[in-house]
Amino acid sequence: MRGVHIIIPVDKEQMIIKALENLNLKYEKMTCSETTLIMLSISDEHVETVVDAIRKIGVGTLYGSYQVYTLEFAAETTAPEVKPKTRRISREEILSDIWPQAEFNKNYIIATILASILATLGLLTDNIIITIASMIIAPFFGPIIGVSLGIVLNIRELRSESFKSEVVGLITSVLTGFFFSLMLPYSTPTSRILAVSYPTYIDIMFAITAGLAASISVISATPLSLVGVAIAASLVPPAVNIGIGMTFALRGEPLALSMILGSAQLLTINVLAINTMSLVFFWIVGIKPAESIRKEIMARKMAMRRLLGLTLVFMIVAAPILVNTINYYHEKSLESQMKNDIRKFIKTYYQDIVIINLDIAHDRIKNITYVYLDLGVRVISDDYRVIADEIAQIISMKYKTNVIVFMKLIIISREVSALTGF
Amino acid sequence: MITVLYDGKDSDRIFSKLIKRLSKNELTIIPLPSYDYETDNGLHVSPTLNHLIKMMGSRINRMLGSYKITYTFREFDFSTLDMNDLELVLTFLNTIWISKGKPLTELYEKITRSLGITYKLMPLYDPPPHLVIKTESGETITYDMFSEIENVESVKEISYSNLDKAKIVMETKMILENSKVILLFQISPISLHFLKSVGSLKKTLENFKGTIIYFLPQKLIDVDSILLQKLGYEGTLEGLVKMAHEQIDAIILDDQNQKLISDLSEVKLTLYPTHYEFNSKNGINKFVNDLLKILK
Repeated sequence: MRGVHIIIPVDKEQMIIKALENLNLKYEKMTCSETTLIMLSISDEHVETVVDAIRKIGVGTLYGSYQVYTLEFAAETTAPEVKPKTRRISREEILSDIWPQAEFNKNYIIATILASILATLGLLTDNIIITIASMIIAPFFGPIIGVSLGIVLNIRELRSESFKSEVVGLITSVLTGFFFSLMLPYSTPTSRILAVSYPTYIDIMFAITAGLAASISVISATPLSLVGVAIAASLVPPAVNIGIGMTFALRGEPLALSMILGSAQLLTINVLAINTMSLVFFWIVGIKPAESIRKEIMARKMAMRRLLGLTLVFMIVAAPILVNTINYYHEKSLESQMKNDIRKFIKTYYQDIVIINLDIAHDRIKNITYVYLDLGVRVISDDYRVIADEIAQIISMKYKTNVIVFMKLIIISREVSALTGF
Repeated sequence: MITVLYDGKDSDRIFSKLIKRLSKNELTIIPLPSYDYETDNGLHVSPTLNHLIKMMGSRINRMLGSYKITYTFREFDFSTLDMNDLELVLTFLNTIWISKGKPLTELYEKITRSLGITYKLMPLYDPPPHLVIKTESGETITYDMFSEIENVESVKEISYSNLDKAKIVMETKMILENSKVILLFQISPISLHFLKSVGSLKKTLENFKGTIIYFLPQKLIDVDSILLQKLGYEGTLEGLVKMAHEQIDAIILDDQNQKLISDLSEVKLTLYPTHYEFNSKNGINKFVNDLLKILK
């Protein structure tokens, strides 16, 4: 629920009242010698209609002013005749939330450096708590949402300021990751670092969901810092991981180059996914310039152009990940089928043998399949030596691949044999 | 940067007062060639440019008394154009420049310098197009003939000739694109029709990143009302705004015109209702102050 105060010169009173009456709004007014104060209480989703109606006739730009504030309680609210298009807070409220957060200033840079230091520490020590702490600082939320808002509302200043903040912030993150990891000389790639270095489609889905969640929070006045965590989770770790990769490269770490490239790819995909999703979402919920139809058409054209560009770049950058994901599942499925065939073969022809471990790795590029097989037997017999060749032949014939089998025979004690039925 | 598109049809006093209050470095005035026409003997007449130069030139008074040029050309049908010396000089210069294919920016620069005009005046098109009004009987008439209402009522087609050759002046285009505000200074329906019908200009305005503000005339004269109707709109100020509304972002209008304000509540435009009190010095000053507030 919102309260609206409109303060105007007395000579403009009739015009404003007429505008409010056109919307069928109930109001209270107080007049002194030169100024009139008009007060009304309305629900959140009607604020934009009322603000547009009074701004349209010059309030706040040519004369007078208005204030919108959150009401804890009102005995009676009034609703305009016009039905709100969506249930969301007004364009002005969204702007007043986002614009200050998108500004490039000292505080933003400090927050970015602090978040990046924590993320670097979290990645290098494989510590999830420190990594989450870095995300809570959430420095990139304002700039990344500001870019999308600047596009749909066609506000050049917001767009360029947000873009500047976003780019400088990400570069700061990379550099912080680089310099801070330089100060920790005995660090090695941890599982968390490797996870960020080799993006999968799960990361893309995460970024898309984060972009949507962030946009929803913006229009529904959810505390922004909470959803900012999702954005930060998509951006801060890959950004600092590029810096960590640079440090590892200086130290001659063999994984360094793939770390840098993988993290840069993930970072680009995440930025594009969040920007694209927020842009689409803002447009769908009807966030448009209020001034004129000309500005609305311009904003629509610009949003379409940017959307096409973002989608195209997104597809180009994300294509290798999607292809790798498809290949990965294809190979996993192939490996699973091969495992089943090997199990079936052993069960049919060697009933006195138990499979202790079976791993298969298929190299699609070289078309070689490596089979790692541990077999449990009661006694070692020369008859078992042919098993490796037989498996190689079966797999090779069925799947048209070169096969190398590494087989171990392990003697099982009688007690265990008795327990397992062998 | 503020660019004023002017067609010379109204409010000289406000225009003079306004430009005096704006910084000369930040202001560019572009006379619209929407009323330009060509005589049968090939003279290119630009009533807007002529009017603007007469209004702005500080050294003009010295020249107005001379009838030498009119006298010289009395034998030709130029004298029937009812122009004073200065207008004839400008018309000849314009025609010579266009026929020789010399840049109009150079002509504007020479004219403003020689007449002591310190404001930046830029041509919009080089060579400029010219207005062609055809009546039901197939006759071609000029806008000047609209003093007789029958002529207006018999209008069949309003178009512009020479559009294939007319190119928007590159320097002017850059000024337009880099402006923060474009002010359409009380331009008439004919000029609006010009802005909407000339492709390159229409595109420039469509893609303009700043704000386009239309300072609306106080009321429509009969000729403009009839022309608006001929162009398919209601012959009122509301019709004029509806004709313009896809090309502009805001309008400045008389705050006493409650009906218009109310009627425009559904049109997606920003309205700046100001007090149109132009009969007193105080009224004009107050209006210009409001205008400056809007522009800045």
